[in-house]
Amino acid sequence: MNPTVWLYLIYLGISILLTVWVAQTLHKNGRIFLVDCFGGNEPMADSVNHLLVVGFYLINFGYVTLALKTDEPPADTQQIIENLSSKIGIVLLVLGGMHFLNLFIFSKMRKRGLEQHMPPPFPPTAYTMPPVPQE
Amino acid sequence: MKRFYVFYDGECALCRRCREWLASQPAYIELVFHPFQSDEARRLCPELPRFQPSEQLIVLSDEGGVYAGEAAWLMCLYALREYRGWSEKLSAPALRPLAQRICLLVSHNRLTLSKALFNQLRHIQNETTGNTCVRV
Repeated sequence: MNPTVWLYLIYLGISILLTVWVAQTLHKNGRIFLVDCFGGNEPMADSVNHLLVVGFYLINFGYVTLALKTDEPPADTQQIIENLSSKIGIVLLVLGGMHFLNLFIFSKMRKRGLEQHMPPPFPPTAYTMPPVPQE
Repeated sequence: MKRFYVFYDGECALCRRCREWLASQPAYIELVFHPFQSDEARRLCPELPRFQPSEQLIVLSDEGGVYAGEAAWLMCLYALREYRGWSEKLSAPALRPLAQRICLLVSHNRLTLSKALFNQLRHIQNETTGNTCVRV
């Protein structure tokens, strides 16, 4: 095997492990957050959680496969490491970005869920007889 | 709370535009609009003149709570799905006086503003007198 193939194999191995690790972390720790967002509706939270993880895997593996090809084939170990480090660095940044996007979506959903049950921000200015709606 | 009755000035074009906008928004609490000059408004809230509806927007909740001026505007925001968060932000002690000043300024100059913006002051006789205003 030439150095380029080694580079690809190591790159794929590290990227896949990283993606799986981040997805598992999100899946495990995002659940309780989502249950809260959906007002305790656990089946709904589990379903959304699963769908989010599927989307996460698709985007990340899609990026990892697209970014596989290297323009400068490495000649020695030093170049393999350099090449690998820049590739993995970008994968890490993409994963970080996806992670924060996920958090942002979760917190948006949570806020929306909380807002729905928010009491009025202040009491009425005055009170009068409750209106009788038109029949 | 399930429903808010909003009493606005049916003779003011700006108020009618605001009403149209409010009515088009998705809401947690149903908003029902009546010009304060209408018979239906007087029937729903016999005490309405006491709250000076010609000076400020009045919101009446189905539980009998009355909100006037900036409080009424903030409660309209509270009723809307997309703007509930804003009602909380603008009700904070730091922003509420500003909201109050802006509402007062707009309310006092609403006819001038209507004329400047829409160039129409009184053309809705039906809405101020009849029951055609009941649509939500």
